[in-house]
Amino acid sequence: MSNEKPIETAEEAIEITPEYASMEIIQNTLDDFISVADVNSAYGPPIKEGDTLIIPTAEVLSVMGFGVGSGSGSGPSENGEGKQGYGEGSGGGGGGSVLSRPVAVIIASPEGVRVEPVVDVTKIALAALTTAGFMAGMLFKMRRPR
Amino acid sequence: MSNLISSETRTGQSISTHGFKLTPFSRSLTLRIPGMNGGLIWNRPASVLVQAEDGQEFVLPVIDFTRQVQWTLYGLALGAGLLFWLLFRKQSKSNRR
Repeated sequence: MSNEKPIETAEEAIEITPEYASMEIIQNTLDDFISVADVNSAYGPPIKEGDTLIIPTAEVLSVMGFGVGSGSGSGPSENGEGKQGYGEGSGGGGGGSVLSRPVAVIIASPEGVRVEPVVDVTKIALAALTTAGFMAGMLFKMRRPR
Repeated sequence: MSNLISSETRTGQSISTHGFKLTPFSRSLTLRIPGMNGGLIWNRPASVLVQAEDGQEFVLPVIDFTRQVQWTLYGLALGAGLLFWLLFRKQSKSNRR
């Protein structure tokens, strides 16, 4: 009979190597990324204000990318004597971004249910300025004699 | 192609309040780039199904007013640009004659 302690949990059975840890980080990040597609990310938790129930809604855009790699190599030792040197390594990296913007608010009161849009004045003003600038530029360019 | 771009409508948990049952719907667009790890997910609220106690049912669309105004303005800019270009072309042709 062996004196070794039997393995009782899955964590004990898996050796936590750096590769395993990085894979777990990637898996967790991927899970977070996929959860953006869920309906709960577009609708916030309901807020009760007196008799009125307010449900905020938002548009969510998530972009993510990652990569992993590993390599190994061998060569002569530093002083050129003795055994050949050997080395291996692995690494990974990734990046992403999550953008969220309020779209509308659902208001449920004893009078009924309605959807009120959230107006982003800054975005509209920027679009209006871009439009005006484009039109002015076009007019200026076309009226200028060649 | 279906793996590259996929669109899905999801249903959320219903909320009951003031004799109304509200069921939210969201629409998500998933884009995966082949050969690369990662992608893009665009999730937006689509509509709310309202069921009244008397059996009445209606759908309230969740409209993105800001985006509608933005696209209208950009469309206006493109339309005006095209109009200016056509007018200028006509004018320069008549000047040459």
